[in-house]
Amino acid sequence: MRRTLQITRMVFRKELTELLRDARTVLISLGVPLVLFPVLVLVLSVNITRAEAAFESGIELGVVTRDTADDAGADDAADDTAQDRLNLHTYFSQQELLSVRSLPDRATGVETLKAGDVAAVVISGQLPGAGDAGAAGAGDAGPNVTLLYDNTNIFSQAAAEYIGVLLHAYSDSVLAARMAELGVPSESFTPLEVELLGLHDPSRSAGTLALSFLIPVLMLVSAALGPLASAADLGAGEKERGTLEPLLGTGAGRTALLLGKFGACSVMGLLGMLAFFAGAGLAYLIGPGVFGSDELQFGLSAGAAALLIGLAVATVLVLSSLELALSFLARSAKAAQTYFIPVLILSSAAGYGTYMMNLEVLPLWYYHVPLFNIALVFKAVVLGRLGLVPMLITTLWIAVYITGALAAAGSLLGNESALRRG
Amino acid sequence: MLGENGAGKTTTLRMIAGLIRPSIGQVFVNGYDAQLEPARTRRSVGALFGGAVGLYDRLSGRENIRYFADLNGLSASDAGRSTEDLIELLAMQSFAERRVAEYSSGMKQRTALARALVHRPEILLLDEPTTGLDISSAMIVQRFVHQQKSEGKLILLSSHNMEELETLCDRVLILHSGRLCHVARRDAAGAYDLRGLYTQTVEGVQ
Repeated sequence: MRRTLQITRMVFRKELTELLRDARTVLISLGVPLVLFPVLVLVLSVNITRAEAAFESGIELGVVTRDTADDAGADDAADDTAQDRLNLHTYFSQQELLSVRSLPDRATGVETLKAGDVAAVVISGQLPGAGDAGAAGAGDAGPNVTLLYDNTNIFSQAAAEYIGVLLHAYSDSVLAARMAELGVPSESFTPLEVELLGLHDPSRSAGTLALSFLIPVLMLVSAALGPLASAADLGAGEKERGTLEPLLGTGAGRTALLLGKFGACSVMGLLGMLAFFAGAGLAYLIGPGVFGSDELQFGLSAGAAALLIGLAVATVLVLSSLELALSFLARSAKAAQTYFIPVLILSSAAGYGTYMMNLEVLPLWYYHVPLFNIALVFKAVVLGRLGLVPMLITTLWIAVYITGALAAAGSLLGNESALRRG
Repeated sequence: MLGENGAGKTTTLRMIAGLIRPSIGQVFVNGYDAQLEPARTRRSVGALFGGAVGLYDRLSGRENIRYFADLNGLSASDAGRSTEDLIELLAMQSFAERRVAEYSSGMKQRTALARALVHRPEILLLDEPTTGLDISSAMIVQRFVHQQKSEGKLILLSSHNMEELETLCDRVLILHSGRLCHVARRDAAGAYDLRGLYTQTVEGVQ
């Protein structure tokens, strides 16, 4: 036993030294996760800033002041319509961010929009008069205002949203003016004043909800990515380089060799995970707005944080053992990387898959599904809803995964096929 | 051991080193059953296999040798001493500190030899130890093998090079298609006629 521990320690130290001396492994395992999120956030921030600047510099809006097609049968109300169109045109012209361009008809509007000369086009039809039955736009005649935008262009979509809000405000103001003329108080149209009140502080609850999605995804993905390069190097890489044969030819026991490698692979996995989260934290500091709001509060109790750390370590151990076993199965590092793809996909699917799951109504068998059970426990810890039974089931499964994967890796290492070179 | 490719030389060496099991029969090494006592068998054997020498590129030559001394159960002081002795014996002082990735094939072969011997095994298995080496590296290896032999080590060596076998070996096993076909010994004058023996043996089998 003492000898096994000694050899395990020697192998662990040597493997870790060698891995950390390999610039490629360090770059893939630690460098990429560390800079991935900050770079992504920087790029997104630049784009958001540009979009905001473009908005602030003004939106080119086309307004069709006289649509011949729409006007064909509208002679009776010609005066009212012309007045309303004029009002809508004037209303848009008064808006600070809008630069209004008059367009003769719908076809020109479409062409101008396609050419990118305007961000959106408003085509105004006939507005119902104060005495007309039914609400505006709700009659058989169909919509009387069309907001035309390019739904493949983000800027055009944002402009359409903004103009849509302006149109609703305009509609409300017309309605209020007409009601005032009739002597009806505007409150009569909103008999219910609804107050939406959440149980928890809005910033904190939004932060917790964001974490309950982000933590399972980041944990599973980083735990799968972290040990990847090391596992490929320590298993299939040894075969490929021909170093496995002399290693197995020593008096060292194979269990000790395997445990040393597993330890080194797991440490690299944990360092990779730390780099991943450090990168995510850095990204949040650089551009909190990219995460939805800069007022999110990501508070976790000390107990929950400790549980998350324990679970993170266990997840890395699970994926390290699994990837190491696959690496011993492969005949070359390239083949090992192919074997890792399903692990990466499954880990990502498990992380994302828990997003819409409601823990309160989830059947217990979900906690028997590999990797999904770990993601669910991550979510439950963040939300403070971890039950004892799901926790026990998942813990047992984690022990089974690690033991099973290591037993398989040991069997593959002890197998004569391990000596076949790539 | 002399034999063409596929004759069974490397397989025999691997069985003796306890790396693979024989499909039939038993392998005893230094009194140990290679299957029942693999760890003891491996500790009494130092092996150098042909093809890729299998060194860790990101470690120095010294670190490679020392790692195998530790794995074979030498104490820290013994491991250090044995490593330094071999570095000196194989004239590796000038490059032992450099990473193996920077080594020439001759340097690698000497490092691999030192690694195979660092735990002072009683038996040395060498699979084509000079294949692919330049003349001076091959001479260093041959001189080293000769020296180990003169120190009383049992050396089992496989090669295609008949001159090398004639110079170094006391007995030559001729293998063909997985069978031991002939054991050649030096004649009264201390010489071999390996070329004639080999042709005669292989043609006789066919």
